[in-house]
Amino acid sequence: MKRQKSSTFGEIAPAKRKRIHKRISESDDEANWSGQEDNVIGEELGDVTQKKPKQSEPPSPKESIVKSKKYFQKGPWKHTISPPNKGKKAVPTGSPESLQGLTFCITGVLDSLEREECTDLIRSLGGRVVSSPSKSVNFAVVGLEPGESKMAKIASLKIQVIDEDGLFDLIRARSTANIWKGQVETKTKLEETKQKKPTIDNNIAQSATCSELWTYKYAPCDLSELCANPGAIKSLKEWLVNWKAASLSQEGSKNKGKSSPKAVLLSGPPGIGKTTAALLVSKELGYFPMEFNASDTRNRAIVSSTVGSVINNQTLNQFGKDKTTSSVIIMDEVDGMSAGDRGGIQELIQLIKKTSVPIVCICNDDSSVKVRSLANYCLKLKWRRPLASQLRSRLLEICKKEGFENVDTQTLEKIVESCHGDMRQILNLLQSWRSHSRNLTYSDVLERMKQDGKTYEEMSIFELVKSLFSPGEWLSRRLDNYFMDPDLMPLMVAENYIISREASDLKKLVEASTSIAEGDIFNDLIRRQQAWNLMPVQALFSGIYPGQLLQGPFGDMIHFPSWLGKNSTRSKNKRLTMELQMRMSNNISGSFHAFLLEYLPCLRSILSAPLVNSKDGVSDVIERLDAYYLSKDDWDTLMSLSLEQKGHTELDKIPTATKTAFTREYNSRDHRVSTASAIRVHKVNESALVEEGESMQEETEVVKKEEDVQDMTLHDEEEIASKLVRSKGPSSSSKVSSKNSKTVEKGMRKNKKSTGKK
Amino acid sequence: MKSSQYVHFFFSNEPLFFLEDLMTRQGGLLWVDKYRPKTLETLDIHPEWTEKLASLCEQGTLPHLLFYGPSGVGKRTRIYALLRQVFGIAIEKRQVEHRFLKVGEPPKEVELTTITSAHHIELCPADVGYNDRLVIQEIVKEIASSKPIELGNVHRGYKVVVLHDIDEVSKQAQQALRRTMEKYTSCCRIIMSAESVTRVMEPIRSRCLGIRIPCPKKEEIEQVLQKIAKKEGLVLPDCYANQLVTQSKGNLRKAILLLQVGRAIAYPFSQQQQKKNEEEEESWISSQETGWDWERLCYDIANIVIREQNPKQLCNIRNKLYELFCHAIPGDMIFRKITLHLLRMMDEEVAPQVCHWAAHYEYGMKRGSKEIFHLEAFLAKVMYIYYSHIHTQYSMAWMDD
Repeated sequence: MKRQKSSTFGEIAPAKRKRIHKRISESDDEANWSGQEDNVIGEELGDVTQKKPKQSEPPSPKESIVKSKKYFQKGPWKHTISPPNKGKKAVPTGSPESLQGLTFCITGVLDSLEREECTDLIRSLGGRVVSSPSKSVNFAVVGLEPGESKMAKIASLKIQVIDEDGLFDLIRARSTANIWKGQVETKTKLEETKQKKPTIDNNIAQSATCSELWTYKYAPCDLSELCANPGAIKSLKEWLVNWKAASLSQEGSKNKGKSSPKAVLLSGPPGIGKTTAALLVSKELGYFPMEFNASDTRNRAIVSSTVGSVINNQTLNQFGKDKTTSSVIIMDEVDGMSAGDRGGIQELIQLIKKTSVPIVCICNDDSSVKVRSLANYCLKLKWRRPLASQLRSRLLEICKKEGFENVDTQTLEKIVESCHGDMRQILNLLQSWRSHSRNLTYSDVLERMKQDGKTYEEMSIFELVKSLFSPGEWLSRRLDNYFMDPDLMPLMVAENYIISREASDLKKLVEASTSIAEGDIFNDLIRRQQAWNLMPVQALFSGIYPGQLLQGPFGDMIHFPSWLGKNSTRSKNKRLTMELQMRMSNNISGSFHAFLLEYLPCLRSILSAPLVNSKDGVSDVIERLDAYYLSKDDWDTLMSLSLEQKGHTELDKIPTATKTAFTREYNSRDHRVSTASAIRVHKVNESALVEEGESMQEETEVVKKEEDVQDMTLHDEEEIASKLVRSKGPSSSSKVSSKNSKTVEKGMRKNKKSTGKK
Repeated sequence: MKSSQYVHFFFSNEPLFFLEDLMTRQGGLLWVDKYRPKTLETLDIHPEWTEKLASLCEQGTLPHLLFYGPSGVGKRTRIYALLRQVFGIAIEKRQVEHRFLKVGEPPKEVELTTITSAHHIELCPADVGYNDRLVIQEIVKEIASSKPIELGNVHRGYKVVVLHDIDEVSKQAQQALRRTMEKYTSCCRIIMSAESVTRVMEPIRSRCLGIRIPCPKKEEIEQVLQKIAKKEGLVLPDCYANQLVTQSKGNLRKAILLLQVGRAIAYPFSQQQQKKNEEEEESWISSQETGWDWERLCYDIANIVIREQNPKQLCNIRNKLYELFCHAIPGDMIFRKITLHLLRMMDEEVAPQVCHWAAHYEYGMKRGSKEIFHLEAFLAKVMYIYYSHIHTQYSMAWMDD
């Protein structure tokens, strides 16, 4: 019965899912507990006994409930289709070079391997994997539901098509064939030993300098050695070349307005050579770099005294032989100028305005709040992560120098990929590996990555959840995965444990849900008493244990936790309710809960019942609203807070004609408005003004009116006594309150967005 | 906060013209507000306490008071009646204010709704949430520490601070109140209301005269209902009144509100409902046509548990729980409603288990912060208990922990 809704998968997914599941569920079609909701208990008793033995079978797709809301349309769908026979087939262990020289292209969902696993398998056996078919491709490995365009291309190129079993057979066949090729192998080995001789010498030479860090040893000492970001480097160079002329012309004609800025801001992720580039460029152009970084204190006073004294200086060198040399200031890690460096950025900006030497600022994120003000005065240059292809040759060179054996480009690309192009980290990793062994094959790298804990950086939150529930995963690994996001993981687990296929075992389900509830208690302890040492305990309760209990595939796509969205709805509704209570509090009696639980539902029926049958009830309802100082907007809020199901709310029962009559009648009369609400509106409006910054004029006028009202109440005693502001129809204050509610809604939407991003 | 904001309340004479205004507004009020007794003499229920309160007023000076008892028995009504007795009609002139205040160091902005008259100020510190301690420390202390300005004939030498829902206030805030209560007795009395006195700490209880307002008797509620019906010119059949009394479970406010809702939906009070009552009172109460909307949603959830026990239905239940959660219905209330309904529908043999686990998970909920997890775990547990009960009719093994 929820079938209709299951189309909320990604654009391609529904068809895929259906077909895959059809295969699985064809055999146990009778096992569908087609979920008739309106079963009488008596009938149910009989049914349940029938169903019992089938319980352990995986629930069919009809079973799985799909929430109507989806948070990420494109995100997780592809991970939800797991291979139908995952982990059930024996993967052949071919000899290391069995697929040497072959190129593969994978498409569709394979029978037992994930796409990633298959890629790794092929690469570790020496094969190459490309994403789209081309002439160089030898085999196309095709699974379920292959991509149409890919298939067309494969057909047109006449590439040999094999399935997963075919691939396994190929591996087996070629590994046995390799044994026959024994002779050839020995030949190649001979060649290798020839090559080895010089490298051994190399090794001895290197062992002497072993203590040196590779990051320094192989630091580029020339601009040409920088692998990536040629564009940015070029513009940095141009800026520095033009600097002298630009600053002179600027001084000469100050009124000319904009010219190139006197400072430059380099931004980009760590380890990709920003500082190096800045140093090299200045060196090449004959400048003397002076570096200030986060290790120096950089508050206002110190910046002005140290840097400030430099900007007007000339270097000693200038008096020597080379008259052209002048200094350049490199402010490294400017986003690291934090609490201790108060005023540093402002001072820096001041210095930039009057500097006579070029200033290069370096930061990781040029859109962060700290740097934003500085960025206005600088030429912004972005450094991007280098591509694997850009680093490849340089790495190959280094590996050869250091005496690694059997290094191939694919292995290096994998390293670059998992380090996100952080050259510094790659070098550090390589150096640590080099101390163990000289081998650097693809499978070695994979193994080491796992040990060094580098792989899960690539996992999304959805994959992390899946790993918690995947069978045979190590406890330590699950813990690590959990702690990738300890705030979101408990929510993710709580949201999704229920759709695990194992959850059909009620006992396990109870255990898991109880464990999650216990985890929440620990969470509260941690936050309230700052008992952070309980974090691992919470992880066990709200992540690891439920995952262990219900390990296995999910019967549905993984959802983003709905708790976040619901919680903000809750606080919105709570706020609205409090506002209503506040308006009415002069006439009612009872706590917030009494108001929420008793007054509200009663008011809803009393204020809607007279309108359901005839228009005569309109004046009755308006009279009641007035008695409690409620406005038409409040009436709308009241009705919107209904808990009835959609289509059966009080509001739905009122005919539209009556509604319009009600609105017209309400607007034509005079109404009392509580001053309490006016004060409140005024307050909230101020924040709205700051936020929107538009239609300022209009709103400030309204606010002024409200203030007048307040003043009046302060001075005029009669006004205090009556506590009422009489205002006519859709008057200023009601306008404001409707605007106000709009801003509240806007805020809500913003909230949702931010949670979505999370 | 500046005390100047308060000054103007204490200067007013006793103008009576606002009473006129009060009268004209009465028509649109709900019956529960319209017929709320304003003075001690007109209080309908608990006459024994009415006498004691009256004699307290005659003494000329009040002690600190703590009114406690379940919801809807008339705690606030009594507080107002008492104040009216002490300060006269001036207390009827109340002003509602919603303020944004800066308290604490570093200053935090808190929102607070207060109701003030010339002689008293009323607030609910628990509304502020986490910062309730600051509100008590700064605001209550400031109000309490200044002497009231003399106002001719009704001058009593003290003013009154009314603190509602004192049992919802954090421990720290209660600590902060302790000293204030003793130090400023010369010019200030504190009147508190609470539902559960056990959540009010001992030192505070010992500083107050505790007044327990119990649930009214069935006859008392019925009398009140008949009185209102008479004033409104309605015919209220005894059996219908009886139903309301049973349904309200000693909550007078609920009884009156239900009476009015019943009137708004159908009048004369329908024959059908009477018939049902004759057949079986219990089933009528649990039937889905009555009660507030959130109560009905709770019943729905319980019904699902009874009807079908599988993860899919738990998903279904979760959605319904989220609906309640979104409307800020407090978790303990949901626990209570669902458990009571389950008990009504389940076999007696499983009842003790259900009660036990309801208590267990509710305690967990109080210690944790995400109510929905605990509710879901409880319902999963009940599903399991019920499932194994109907499948193993004979072996009644208790669940191990």
